[in-house]
Amino acid sequence: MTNRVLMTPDRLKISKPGWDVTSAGHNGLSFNSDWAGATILITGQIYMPNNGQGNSIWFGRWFNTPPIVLFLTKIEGSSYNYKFGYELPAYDGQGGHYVTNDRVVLAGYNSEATPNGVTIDYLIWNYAT
Amino acid sequence: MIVEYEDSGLPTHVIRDPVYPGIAEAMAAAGAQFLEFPPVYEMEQNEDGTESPKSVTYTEFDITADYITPDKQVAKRPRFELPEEVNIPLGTSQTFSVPIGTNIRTSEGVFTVDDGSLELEGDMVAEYHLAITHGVHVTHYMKVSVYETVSG
Repeated sequence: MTNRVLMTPDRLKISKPGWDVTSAGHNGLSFNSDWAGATILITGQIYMPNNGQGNSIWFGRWFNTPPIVLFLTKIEGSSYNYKFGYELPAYDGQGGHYVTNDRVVLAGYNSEATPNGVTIDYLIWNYAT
Repeated sequence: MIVEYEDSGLPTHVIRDPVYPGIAEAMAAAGAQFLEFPPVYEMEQNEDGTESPKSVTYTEFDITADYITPDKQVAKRPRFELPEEVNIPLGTSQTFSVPIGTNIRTSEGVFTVDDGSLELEGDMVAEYHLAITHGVHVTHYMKVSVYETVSG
């Protein structure tokens, strides 16, 4: 019987009927985790009090290129809905917010616009490199 | 799930399940104060004697309503028993009981209640927005409207 499924610690391949998964090329595979695209690495929530204290989101791995990060932000105590992005004013002097190869660095808030702090929902995409 | 928290028990960061391997190690290396609440698996016996997960239970945590107790458990934060809106006729006042040390944040600054009695005096027609905090209590937001009574 033809080998149809190949599972190793870092890879999953499934071949089409009649194709041996150990030798099949792209046209002989119905699934190849090498090309499975981006998956979700981390989802979470951060509360940033209005005291200038920053925080970090560690990826637990190293990316050759910083990953895609999505944010929704909500000013606590305001009637505004969640906003896309992390566009609120950062506490000056902390270098703003940025993404590196192994973490997101969030500068703290200390603004009259956010007296009760900010809650942030985030999602970070994972990919192979 | 991972919960990062302050010494007071208030959470600052929640990482939802499933947690990618290596994140806790990176946080520990950075000196973060956090707890891990790994998924709880219910196992079932296979025919060959091995076990497989039958179901999984994740710990739930609401960053705006829960906290970490001194014995490192997840618990609901206490709430103020206060109304969300208060209407006060001009020249009158209303009083509410709150814990001593409660902070009241207004657009004019932060005031501390040192006798357990929050007194709202209606000395000017206006609308005020208060943020009321104390320890691990859920922050309570109150709208106070002082209105002029029509006589006559």
